[in-house]
Amino acid sequence: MLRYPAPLERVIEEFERLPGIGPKSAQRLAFFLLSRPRDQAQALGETVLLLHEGIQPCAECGNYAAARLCPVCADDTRDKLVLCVVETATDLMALERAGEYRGLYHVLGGALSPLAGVGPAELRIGELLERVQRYGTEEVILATSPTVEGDATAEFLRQRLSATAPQVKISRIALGLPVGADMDYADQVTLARALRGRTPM
Amino acid sequence: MPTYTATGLTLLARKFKGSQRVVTFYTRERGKVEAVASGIGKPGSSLAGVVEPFALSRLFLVQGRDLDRLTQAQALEAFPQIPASLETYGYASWIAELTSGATEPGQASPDLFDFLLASVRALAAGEEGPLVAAAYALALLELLGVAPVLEECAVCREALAGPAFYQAAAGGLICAECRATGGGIAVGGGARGLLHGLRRVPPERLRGLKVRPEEAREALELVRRHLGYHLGLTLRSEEFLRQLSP
Repeated sequence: MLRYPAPLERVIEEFERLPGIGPKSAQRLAFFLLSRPRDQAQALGETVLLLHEGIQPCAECGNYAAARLCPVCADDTRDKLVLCVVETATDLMALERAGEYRGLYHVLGGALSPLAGVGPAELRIGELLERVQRYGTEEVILATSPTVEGDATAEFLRQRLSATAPQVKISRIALGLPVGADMDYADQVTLARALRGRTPM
Repeated sequence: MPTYTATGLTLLARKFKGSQRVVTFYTRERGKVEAVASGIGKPGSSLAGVVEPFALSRLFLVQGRDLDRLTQAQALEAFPQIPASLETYGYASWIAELTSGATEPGQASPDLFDFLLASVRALAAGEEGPLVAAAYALALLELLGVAPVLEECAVCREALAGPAFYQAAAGGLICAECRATGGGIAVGGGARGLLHGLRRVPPERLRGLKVRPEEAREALELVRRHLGYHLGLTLRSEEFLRQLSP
């Protein structure tokens, strides 16, 4: 069987490792790069390398940062008495895009998942408790996913925070129907959660 | 493509392409079923709730060449109490992972389904995790035909009158005389009695058993060894549970 030249095969294989990229897409991307001028491929390669050379976890919150602190932790105008706990840096970015929150974040690095082998020791829980003490935090917002894993993580954090910092107000982001959703199409689990989490008005 | 419906409990879900998940259910009608569910993680997905572990749902599926496709689902029962306790969550995950690992698609066992559902309900109701897990694993081993021999010596078949030892290769408990020819772990009288009891008591009535926590853990440890030897399973949730133990 006729095969592509080895360097091309390698590029296709590397693209195939990326999430959401199958063999056909990998092949298309590799051929696209081959059809472009050399400096474009070089620029892409160098930019990808910079990911690991130029990005590090923020020394405070664990977000991706180009310096010791991420832009949120380095911003003096943020409210340092409120801490929002998220699973990943992409969750942090999603909340930032909402433009509603002016406090600090704490990135856990995942959620408790026995099936994925993620226990309390694999998450940045000790760092969270230490930051709450050091900052004199007044409120911790638990913004983990509305999944079994996210709920278990939130509940575990609530217990740990209540034990180590009983003066801190602990809240959970509201869970329920998305904006614009048709009630008729919502599943029973979501509707039950929306009812349990109702707020007075 | 042929379609079918089934009542199933969600065991696991793993990310697939984009917002798709490959979900493993254990159903009453067809045993283990693996199906692709699309749109999970997107706001407004009508399937997101039912692909969460331990949800009981009525499932509407389309048969596929490799994997079936989940097209609709109706949630029948959810167990929000399970993630409220890390230990309960750990043992429920252990039971789900064990079921997924020990069963094959297309081999229905309504008895196992009923026991699985009763065990999840018992955990949600606050029953002791190690006790429910040990009882479930014993029921599963029984159905698979590899239950540990508990009533008599697994080697000489004499009644176990004195001290008993567990030997995985022998298939269960052995007497002191037979142990002289090989290894074996001493099993306390309490754990031994408990293992007998667990075979007879349904999960929803475990609360009635008078059990010391160390006996429950000893019984579960024995069952774990038996599972490891006879089914060759390595469960990821074991490490999670180890982190929780004092």
